[in-house]
Amino acid sequence: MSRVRWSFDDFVNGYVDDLLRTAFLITWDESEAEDLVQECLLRVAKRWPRVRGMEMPVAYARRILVNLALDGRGRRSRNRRELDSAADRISPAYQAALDLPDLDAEADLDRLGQRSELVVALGQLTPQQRTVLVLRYFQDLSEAQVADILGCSIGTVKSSASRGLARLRELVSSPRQTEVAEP
Amino acid sequence: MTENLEQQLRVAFAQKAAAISSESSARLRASDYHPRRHAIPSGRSVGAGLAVAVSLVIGIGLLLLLHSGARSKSTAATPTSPSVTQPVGTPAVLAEIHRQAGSLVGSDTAFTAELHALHGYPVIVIAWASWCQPCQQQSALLQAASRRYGNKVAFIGADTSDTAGKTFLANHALNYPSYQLTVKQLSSITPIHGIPITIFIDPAGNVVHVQAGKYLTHGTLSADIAQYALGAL
Repeated sequence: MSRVRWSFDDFVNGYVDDLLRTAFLITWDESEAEDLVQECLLRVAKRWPRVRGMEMPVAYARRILVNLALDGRGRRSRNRRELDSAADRISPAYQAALDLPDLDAEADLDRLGQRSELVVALGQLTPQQRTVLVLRYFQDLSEAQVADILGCSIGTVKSSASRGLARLRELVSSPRQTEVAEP
Repeated sequence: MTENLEQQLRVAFAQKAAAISSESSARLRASDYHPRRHAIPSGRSVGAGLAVAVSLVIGIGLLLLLHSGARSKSTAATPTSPSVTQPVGTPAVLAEIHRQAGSLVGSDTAFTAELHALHGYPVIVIAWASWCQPCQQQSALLQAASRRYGNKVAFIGADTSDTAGKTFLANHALNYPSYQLTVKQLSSITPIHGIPITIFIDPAGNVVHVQAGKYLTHGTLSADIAQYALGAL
């Protein structure tokens, strides 16, 4: 497979949305996501002569991004995050996201209620719990690729993913009985 | 049950991700990361020289390709796909593309000739590969778009798989034809930094927009089609 050498500007233009959304879904906070992506791109820029020759420069960028996100760098307090997630439920942007006319309109109508619960439930997971799910189901990366990014074994990826899914199932199946039991 | 939750999770992530504002990404694009400040000076001039040389070679190659492509109009006969329907009033050249749906029609020469033949119509080139999961995930969006806009816009696949493309097409019905190209050949049109990538070409043959990475929603794809493909008509 031939490798194409590309400019850093092209890289930023091509992947900034991808990285920003990944960071957003991990942190659940837009301005924190923006900070993380900026820091990540600065680091990529610093090593660009080496990174541009890699087969998948974006994989390298994702690894930096995820490490930054889970490192606690720029991480806000839990209180702040909870406030944000509460504001989420009624913010216009959130509402707009639910009102999207795309995504198989018919099936959507059936499950919209459940899905919006799922979005709220996702917001109640910790960034650590969400990361594996984001990489697996938003980025659609394989377990091996996720393991590579997180620097852990495939077994660990599998078990964290299934723990995350189990927690979500709990949150979605009985949100009203248990209220929000998560500290 | 688990599979169902995984599917719902994909949709929930896509919904949440769509809530992000365009200002954040605009700010990040506009930021100055000063990559050159960190480059070794000597390496930079060598790199620049190389870049000029490479673009010259690519440019000449493209000219030659266009020239030979124009002379030897693609005549490859392709299997018809009875399941593909096309809207009434589809121009002949676009109807032909619908007839070639799901097949590998040729390599880079035929691809260049086809682009040439499609002058006058907006073209969307969808680069994919059999091993590329995000390509497969966005496939449903692009197929829906091809069904909807195929009477005005030419949807063409560029299969960059090494050898597995044919097997992949045998197992996955795509409603647009694909050409077998290497990433290098494809980058004669526009720089390719990874797969998936979707390239919008206007009726005059200019690349007007490039979506790097997969499309997440029908909304973003439709907006790009409206702006970069239909907008040019």
